[in-house]
Amino acid sequence: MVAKGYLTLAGINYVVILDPWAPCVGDERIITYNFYNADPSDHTHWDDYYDVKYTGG
Amino acid sequence: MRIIISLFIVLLLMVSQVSAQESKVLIKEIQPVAQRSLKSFSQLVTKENYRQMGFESPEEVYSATLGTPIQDFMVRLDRLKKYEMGSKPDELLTATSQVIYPVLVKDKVRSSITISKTKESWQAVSFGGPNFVKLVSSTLMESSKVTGLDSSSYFIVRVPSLNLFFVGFRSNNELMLVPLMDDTRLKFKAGVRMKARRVFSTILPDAKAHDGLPR
Repeated sequence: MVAKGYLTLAGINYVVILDPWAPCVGDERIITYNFYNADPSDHTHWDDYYDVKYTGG
Repeated sequence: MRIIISLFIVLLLMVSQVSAQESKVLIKEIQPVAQRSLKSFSQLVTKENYRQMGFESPEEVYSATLGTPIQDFMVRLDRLKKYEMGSKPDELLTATSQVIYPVLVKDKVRSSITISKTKESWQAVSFGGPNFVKLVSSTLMESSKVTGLDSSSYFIVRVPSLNLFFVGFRSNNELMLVPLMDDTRLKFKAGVRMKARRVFSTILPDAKAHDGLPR
């Protein structure tokens, strides 16, 4: 899962994510921050990386 | 002996009826939440993201309706590792407290809303994911044509540790799974139903060899 944005609507925080499944297709979803943060039935967090930038080359 | 077998069949039928009844009660409870979440969805869809959310125009979401909800189940790696051939495959299914509603425009699946139980209340937790819900819906509808079962008889079965996804249903008290994708190595063919006990037996070696790390 890749987080690509965030927003707040009616007091609810959302995270915009890219889900790599299905293979070669993927999906975009807007999920609540609470769901993003913790829902072991759907996903768990391992090492989260952030502020990754392409530096050319 | 016949009496014992008959009693066993009656017991199995009762269990499946209770399960179907529970599912109906659940859907009745969350339907108002799903209806309200359609309004939230219309506020989340913009000119910038309507395509990624599955719509053909930013305005389509205003005429969107909800399709038949699909309950979500997962197969946990720890339980799968302990699966023994011949044991009841239903016992591997864990309800995730997530229900996926296809979002329709003129009866065509465009997107989805996921309702989940968080603490004590049901809430919409996910919007979008058009490709996944289209794949689930088309697989379910094709299977439904063959089985004659109503779409409400189907559910999602995920094996997250092995990245495997199915739609499931019960036929003659046998849990059946329909793969969403081809898997040439495991010899799973998208859309072709299999007995769940066969699926679990096939993936058992992979589960036992799994180190528990994300893939």
